[in-house]
Amino acid sequence: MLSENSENKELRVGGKSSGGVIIGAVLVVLGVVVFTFGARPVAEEVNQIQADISSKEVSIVELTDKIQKYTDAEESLQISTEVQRQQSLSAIPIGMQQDEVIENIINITREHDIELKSLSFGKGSAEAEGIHTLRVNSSFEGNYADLISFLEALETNERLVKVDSINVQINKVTISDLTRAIFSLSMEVYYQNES
Amino acid sequence: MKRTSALLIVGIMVLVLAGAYTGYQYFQKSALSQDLKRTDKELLDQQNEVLKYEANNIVEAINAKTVYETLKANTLEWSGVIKKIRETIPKDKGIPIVEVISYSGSSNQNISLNVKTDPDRDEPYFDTADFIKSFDHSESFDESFIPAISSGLNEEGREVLSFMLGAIYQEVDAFENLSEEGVDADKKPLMRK
Repeated sequence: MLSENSENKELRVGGKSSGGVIIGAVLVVLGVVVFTFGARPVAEEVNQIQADISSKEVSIVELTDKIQKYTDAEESLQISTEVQRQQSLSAIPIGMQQDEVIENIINITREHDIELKSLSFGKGSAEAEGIHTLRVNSSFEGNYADLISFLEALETNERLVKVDSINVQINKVTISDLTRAIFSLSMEVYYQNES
Repeated sequence: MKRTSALLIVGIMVLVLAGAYTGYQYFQKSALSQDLKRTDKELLDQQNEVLKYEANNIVEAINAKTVYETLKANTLEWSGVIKKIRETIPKDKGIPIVEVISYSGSSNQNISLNVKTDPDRDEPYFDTADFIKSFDHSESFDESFIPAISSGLNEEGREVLSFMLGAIYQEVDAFENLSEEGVDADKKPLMRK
């Protein structure tokens, strides 16, 4: 009697135990399935989003630096207003604008009673990146007294003109007591690439 | 006493952990999606700001002004050089003692002057010496040198000397030339009596 009871108890305990093991195993499998098909794809997405955010944050920092650089340059170079910017672009414009150079030179010569004798042009590039030069070789004739004011007009011209070399020949006109000058200038004007 | 299977406990723990981790990842995804939207908006704002600079030619204006400042600082103003040459030529009673026939200059600041003496003056060699002394004493010119002097006669039979002077132009800071009293302290050479 006692041994029968003992066998039944072992069987019951054995039955409960194997059920727990099965449920435990099912839960483990379920856990693995949840991890594999639920957590892992989301984790990969999270990593992707994190990488995306990081790269975009780097771009934001670069753009912020760029904007800061522009703002600082605007302030330090005093081109924060539209008028100042236009003045700056008039000095070194976008595009060669050779017609403007010719008009400029003619206007200055007329203002100072100087006669333009010849003009020749050549294209080149400046040391600064994106800046190109238009070399102008020119010869003029006029009163020697007007030479300095003519040169001053070129030096203060809205479009930057750099006189590289100068040759002046002075002739005294004995009849009129005037001093005439024949002079040639080698100049450079600058322009930026059209984007 | 009831005994619970170890595998059951492990199973429960694995499921709870997997569930918690999955939940955490979903929470992370949701939070990061918000961050991504904010970052996208910020990036777009910054890109628009840069475009605003580029569309209004501000970048070109900055380039132009930067190059302008550099070139202007390194550009020799020939009007100033010619004024200095005229000032440096010695004068007697307001009349230049020599006549400059021609001159030339280049961007490396080398200048050369073709000069002839005044036939109405008695001592053309002394005038030539005064002329070079004047350039020697000027702070605006360095290395003044006359390689040769040739003598000739004009139509009236008076002696005229011709020579060429080479020098290097030096830009002098206007403030350096002021003495303590604010008087121009440029050294003027003494004229030969």
